[in-house]
Amino acid sequence: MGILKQSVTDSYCHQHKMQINPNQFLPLRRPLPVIVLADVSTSMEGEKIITLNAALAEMHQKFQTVHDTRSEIHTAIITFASNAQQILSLTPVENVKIPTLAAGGTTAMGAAFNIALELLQDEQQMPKRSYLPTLVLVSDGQPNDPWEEALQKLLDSDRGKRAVRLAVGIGDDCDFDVLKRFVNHPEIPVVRATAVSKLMDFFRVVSMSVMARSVAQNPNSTSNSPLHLLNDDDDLPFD
Amino acid sequence: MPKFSFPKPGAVVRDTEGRRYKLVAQLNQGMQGAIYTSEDESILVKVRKPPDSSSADFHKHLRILIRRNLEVDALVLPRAVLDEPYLGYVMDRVNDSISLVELVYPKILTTNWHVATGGLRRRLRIAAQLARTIQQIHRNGLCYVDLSWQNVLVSSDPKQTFIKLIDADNLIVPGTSFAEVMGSPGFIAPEILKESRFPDHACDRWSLAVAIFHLLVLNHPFFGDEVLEGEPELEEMAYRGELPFIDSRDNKQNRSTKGLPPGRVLTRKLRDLSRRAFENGVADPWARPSPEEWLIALLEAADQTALCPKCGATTYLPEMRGTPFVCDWCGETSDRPIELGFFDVDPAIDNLDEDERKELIRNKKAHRLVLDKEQRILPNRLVNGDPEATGDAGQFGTKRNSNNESIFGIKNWSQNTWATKDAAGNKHTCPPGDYVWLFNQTVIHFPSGIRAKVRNPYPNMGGQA
Repeated sequence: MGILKQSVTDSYCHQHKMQINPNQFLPLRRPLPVIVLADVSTSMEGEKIITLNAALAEMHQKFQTVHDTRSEIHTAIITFASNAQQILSLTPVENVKIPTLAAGGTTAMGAAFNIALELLQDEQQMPKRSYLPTLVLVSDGQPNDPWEEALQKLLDSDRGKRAVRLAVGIGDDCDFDVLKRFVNHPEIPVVRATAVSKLMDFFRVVSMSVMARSVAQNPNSTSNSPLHLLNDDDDLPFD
Repeated sequence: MPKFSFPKPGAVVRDTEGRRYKLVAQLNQGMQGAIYTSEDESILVKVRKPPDSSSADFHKHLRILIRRNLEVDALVLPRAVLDEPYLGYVMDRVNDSISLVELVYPKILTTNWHVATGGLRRRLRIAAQLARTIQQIHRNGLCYVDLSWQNVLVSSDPKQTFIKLIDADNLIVPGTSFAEVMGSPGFIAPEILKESRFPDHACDRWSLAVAIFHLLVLNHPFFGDEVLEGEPELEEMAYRGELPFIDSRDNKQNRSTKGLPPGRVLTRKLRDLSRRAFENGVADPWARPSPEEWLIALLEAADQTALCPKCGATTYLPEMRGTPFVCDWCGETSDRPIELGFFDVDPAIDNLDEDERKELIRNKKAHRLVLDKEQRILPNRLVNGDPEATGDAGQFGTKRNSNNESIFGIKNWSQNTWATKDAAGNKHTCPPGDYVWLFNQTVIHFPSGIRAKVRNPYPNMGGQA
C-alpha cells in the first residue's frame, strides 16, 4: 500500500517538474505572402516614386492592424531598374521596415520575374505551410530585357499559376499588354493609374484584398476574385 | 442597382426614429459592413452593405431583435435601426475592452504574456461567461451563429472577467431564412461546411466548444503538428473534422506539440466534454455538450485553481493532500492553500474516518474550493451545480493575531446565520457580517443544509490531519 502511494506521488511530481512556457506552445501562424514587384526605372523619378513609397507605407500600416491566430501577412519587395533585386525578403509584417525606393536605370522586368520565381520556390522564405501569395506588379514603362520567357516560367510554376496576381500601370507610356499577360485572368482587370494619385487607391484595394483573404474561411482560395473590391472603388479606371 | 459606397467620416446618418448621428471615424471595415464612432462617444454605428436578401427583411430582423428585449447580459444589441438610404444600426460602445483574440494570440509576445492576461483562472471564468451567454441566447430561442475571436470583447483589465458579444445582427431564429452569415473560419460546424445547411443550436455548441478549447489550450482542436506544418489544404480538412481530435484518447494520429498540454489546463471533466464535442460531436451534432454543461464544468475548474504567491499565475491544485503546490508556470513550490470541501447533507460524514472521506472525495461527492482572496464562496453553486445560485455567499479574508500570524476566515455575506463546529465538537454561530475562522476540521453548516469542511488551513503549523 505504502509503495503504491509513493509511486503515485512520484509520478505526479515528475509530471510537474516541467514548467510551462506558454510562448513555446503558441502554434506558428501560416505566412500569407504579399510580393511587390516595383518598377524603379528613371522614368519613375519624382512624383511617381514618392507616391509609390507612400502607398507601400500605407499598405504596411493597414497590414499591421490585422491580428489573427491563423495567418500572418509577410511582405517582400523586388525592385527592377537596370537590373532586379529583392530588397526586402519575405518578412512577417511586424518585423518589416518598408525601405524607401529610389528611381534610376532602365526596366529589367524580366529579371524581376526570374527573382519572383526563385522566391516562390525558396523553402526558406516560403515554407510549404504558406498560403498562396499575392503578387503585385507596378510599372510605368516597357520592359527592355528578355521578359517573355521569364514571365511564362513564372506563370507555369505551381505557386505562380495559383497566386493572386494584380497589376497597375502608371501613366500613358506603360506597356499594358505585359501587365495583362502577367495578370492573365479574365475577371481581374489591370488598373490604369493615369493620375499618379490613383496608385494610392490601387494599393488600398490590394490591402483590402489581402486582408479579406486573411480572415476568409479559406485564405488559400484565390477563386474569390478581388474584382468586387476593385469595383467598390469609386472611379478607378481599368484597362 | 446603384453602386454602394460607405459613408465618409463627417457624414450624418439618421435612425428610423429620426435621431441623427454624426459619424466621426471609421473603426474598421469588413466584408459585410463598417463600424463608425459617432459624436456621442457612447455609441457606435454599423453600416452594412446591402445583403443578398432584401433590405426590408434585414430591417424587420433588426426591429424584431430590438423589440424582443432579450435578457442576455453580455450581448450588445442594436438600439435603433438606420433609416434609408443606409442599412445598419446603432449600438452601445463597449469601453475598456479588447478582442478575445488577445488572450489566444498576443499582439506582442512577452515572457509573462499568459499570466499578464489573467492566466488559467481568468480564461476559465471568461470561457464560463461565454457558455453562460450562449446558454441565455439559446433560452431565448435564438442562435448566435458567428462566435469568433473578433466578436467577443473582454475587459482590458486582467482582474475583470466581463465579456460582451457584438455583431448581434447575426442572431437568428433557427430554421428561418435570415441567415446571411454561416460563421467564422475555424468555428463553423463540420455539417455546415459539408452540407451547406443553415446554422442551428448544435452549430453554436460546436463554435462554443472550439472557443473554450482554443482559449484554454491555445490551439485549435484539430491543429495537430502535421496540419500546422503541412500545406494549407490540411487546414480545410481540420475544419471539417476529417482529422482526429488532437486530444483524442484512442487516436493519436493528429497529436500536437503546439498548444498547452491539455492535461495541465483542462480538468478531467473539461477533457471529457472536449472529447464529446470533437469526437462523437463531429458526426452527431447533439452529442456536443450543452452550454450549461460547459458552464458548470468551467466554474468548477476555476474553483480548483490555486494562485502562485510568487508569479501570480494559477494552476490546478492536485487533489492529493500530501503533494506540494508547484506552480505550473514558474516552477515555484509553495505551501498548499486552504481548501474547503463542500458536501451534500449527509449527517454520517462526521463519523467518517480519513480513508472513507478520501473515498468520498474521489467519488466526486465533495466539491473542492481552493481559497484565496479572489475566490468567492457560493455553496449552492458548488454543490447543486446551479450556476445562478448566490445564496449563502461568503468571501475569504484574513486577520493577524497577537503573534502576527495570519488567521484565515470566511466572511458571511448572506442574510442568514451559519452554524459551525470545530474539531473538538464545540458549536458556534456566525451571524451575517461575521467571520468563521478557519481551523483544521472546522465544519460550516449552511442553512441550505450544505456543509463545508476546512482542509489544511495552516500548512506551516499543521499537517497532522
